[in-house]
Amino acid sequence: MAELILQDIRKSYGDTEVLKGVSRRIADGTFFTLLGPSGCGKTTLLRIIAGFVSPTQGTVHFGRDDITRVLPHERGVGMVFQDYALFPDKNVFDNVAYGLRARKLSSKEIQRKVPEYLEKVGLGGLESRLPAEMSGGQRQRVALARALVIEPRVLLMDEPLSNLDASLRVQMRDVIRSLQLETRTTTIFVTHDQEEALAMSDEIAVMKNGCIDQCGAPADVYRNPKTAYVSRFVGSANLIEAEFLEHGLDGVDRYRVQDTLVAGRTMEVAANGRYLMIARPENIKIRRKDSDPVGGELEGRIASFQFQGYRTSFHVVLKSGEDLHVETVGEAETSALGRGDNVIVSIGEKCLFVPEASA
Amino acid sequence: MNRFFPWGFLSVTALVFLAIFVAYPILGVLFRSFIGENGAFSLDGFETFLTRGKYLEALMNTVILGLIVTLTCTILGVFLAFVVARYDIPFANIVLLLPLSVLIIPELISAQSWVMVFGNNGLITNLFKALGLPFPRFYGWFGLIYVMTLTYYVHVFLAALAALRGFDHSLEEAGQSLGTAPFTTYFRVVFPTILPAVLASGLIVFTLVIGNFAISIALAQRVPLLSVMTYRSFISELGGNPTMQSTLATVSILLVSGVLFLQKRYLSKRNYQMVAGRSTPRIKLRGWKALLISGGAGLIIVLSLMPALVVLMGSFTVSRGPVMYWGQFTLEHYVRIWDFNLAVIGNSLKFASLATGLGVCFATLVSYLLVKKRSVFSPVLDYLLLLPLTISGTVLGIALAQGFNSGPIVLSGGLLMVLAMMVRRLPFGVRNASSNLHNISNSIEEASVSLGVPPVRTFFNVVLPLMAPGIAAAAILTWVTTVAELSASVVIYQAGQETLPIQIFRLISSDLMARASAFGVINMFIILVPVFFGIKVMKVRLFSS
Repeated sequence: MAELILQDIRKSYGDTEVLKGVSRRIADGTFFTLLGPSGCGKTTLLRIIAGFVSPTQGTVHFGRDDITRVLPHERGVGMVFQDYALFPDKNVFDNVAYGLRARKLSSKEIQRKVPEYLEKVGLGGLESRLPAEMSGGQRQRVALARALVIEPRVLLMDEPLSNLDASLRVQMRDVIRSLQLETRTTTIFVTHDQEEALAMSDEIAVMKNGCIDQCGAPADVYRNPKTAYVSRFVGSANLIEAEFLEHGLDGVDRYRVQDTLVAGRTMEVAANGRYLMIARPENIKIRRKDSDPVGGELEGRIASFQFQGYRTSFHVVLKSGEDLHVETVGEAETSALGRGDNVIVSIGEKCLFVPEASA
Repeated sequence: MNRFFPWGFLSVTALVFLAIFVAYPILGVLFRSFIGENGAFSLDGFETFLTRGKYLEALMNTVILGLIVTLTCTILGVFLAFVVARYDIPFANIVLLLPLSVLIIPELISAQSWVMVFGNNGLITNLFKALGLPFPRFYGWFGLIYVMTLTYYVHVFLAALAALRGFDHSLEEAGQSLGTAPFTTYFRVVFPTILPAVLASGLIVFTLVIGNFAISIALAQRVPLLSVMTYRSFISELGGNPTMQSTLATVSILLVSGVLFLQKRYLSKRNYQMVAGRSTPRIKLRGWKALLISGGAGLIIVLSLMPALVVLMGSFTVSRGPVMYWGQFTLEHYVRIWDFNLAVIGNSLKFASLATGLGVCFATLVSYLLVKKRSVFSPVLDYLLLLPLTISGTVLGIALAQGFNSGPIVLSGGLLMVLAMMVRRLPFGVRNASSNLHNISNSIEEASVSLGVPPVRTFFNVVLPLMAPGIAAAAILTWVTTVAELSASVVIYQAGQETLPIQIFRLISSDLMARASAFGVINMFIILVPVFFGIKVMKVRLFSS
């Protein structure tokens, strides 16, 4: 177990730059998630940490050890793969014991450790099963036990849940997170599923085009996205063009959004003065049109809605023609709203403003 | 860290090996066909080929024979596949032995056994003579077409059967529901979808026929054929002018390459994707139809397995010179082998096990490099591996003999024998060995490496066990073909290096059929043992790919 330090990692294939200088210090015991769409470089970064890809530039340190040039099999990382990568001809015991045997542990020790870790992942007693005889969730548990039993310095997980069905995925999140907390293993988790990232991580790095766009605790990244991209990738967001008017007190600035005035925090100053407003659907209030809109309010009409039990999701078309996504939770008056109703939406004060160019 | 070692290094090694032992001799043959007697560039060889009637006639005969046998094989193979897939016939299990019969009965022994039945002193010929009836001359077109058809139709049969079994019956029902009658449906819907498989196997038959040596030399006494002529020109002109041998070999290479090119060009595009669906229900036949169809299929099966039986009987039959005394039994032929010819069996075992061992190791390594460790060398390696497919055994033998008799590398006969046997089978060996490799995900190896096992040991720990079924199939099939190898080794061997097929070939040439039969039985036994062991004990699936 160790702190993981990435320093200016770059990787190019021919003319294509896949990673454009990633630097990050990941504290010992952190559950660190690389979140991003396919092609953003997150898997390449993970494979550089594992040693399967060598960076064009930059260094990887485990604590004080520079491991940039260390061969993969000498790095002491545990890795969990998307397709489980269990050895199909070996039973569960031999799969989990594989790394221990490579480390020349005594068979007594192996006999003690393998069942211990199988117990931890909830597979006690299935030692003699073959991978083909197990469900996807069980296989991923074996893969997890196999990676953890060697007590790796860093645990790497490459979209480990994407081959599982929805309910299993939620269940496996808990298994992985609680094991990680128990062993305090520094973990790098790659996913494109924001829900997974938010639910499991100590820290999230949102990646885009080979760079880390924003990094921070899940709640922080969700509440304070620094770019429009991050706001859309972590949670959903309405993005509407805004015009900067003036600086306010306590960092709350005033903007013109369509034909109303909205106050909110400026996350970053735009060089060209063009801004986008970020409004989370759950932060927008909606009511039947009873009067003309006042400050911070806009007029629109409900194009469609979906009743989803504890919440209701509205698709509102604003007077200007722009679409707005609004979510309400268990409010009696909004449940009376229907398709075609004219409504007033109030943007509120929780919205943020980011430079438009970053979108 | 050094990423070139070991895989890049091994790729280069494999490349160099193929370049020296496959590309160099074959290019040598092509090159020498343009060199005249005085050592300068000349087209004399091709001029002779095109102006002397006998060469052109041989070429024509070869192509015609190829076309006819392809046609007869297609008819026979498709018919049998159709019957087996569609109808509930009583001996369906025996049908599954057919592909085995082709493996176990070498071409030469097949030709020999039919000579023993229909030849000058044959069982049936003598029967007809005794009855005073005329019997058509077996040596020539009749014998060639007959024996080659019975030897090669299995290729079409297997391909057509696989295609028919993979056919989704719902499609046929869809055709019928759209208003075509069952029989019409069959021709409009079923036939076109199995056509690519049938055509592909037909082309394989064609290349096998034009490259065939064993059956041709035993039966084509009055019909000049390219392969026989190439062989003769090598035997008689050894040490003399190699231009004509090279020219003949070049023509043969061009012919086969042309066919392979055709196949790649036209057939690779016509590969229909069939969704796995319900298989066709088998129909139970009644009355005269049943008799006709199962009788026809039964006859084909009996004729396919007959050579083994004839040779077995012949090996125990008393003979004096070429005359067989059917009905009188003796162990004399086996005793003679025991007393004088154990070395022949030893040679066969020695060469074949060396060729199989080396060939399988090479095929395993190369298939792994080609599938899992692709590098800049891989495309070249791919192409070099195609080369052995373009040449017949005879031409390979000549290429190796010419290439390594003199010049920068000189190799002894024994080594060349092993090399020839190994190289001929290499493309198939690589295909067998890589059959499982595509299903092994790269992450399995990475998992092993990340758990602390270095790459080379990972290959042995994780990949090799998963490749094992394919490797076993490669080993058995390589063994089978190398033990039966004649066309290349008969060109290369020197005194004291006779193998079983060479000995059989010489005995047949001297018309000593009973003694040849005894060698034939031993040859088949040596082939059968590992095949039987592989299928029964190791459960190897030889015909899966």
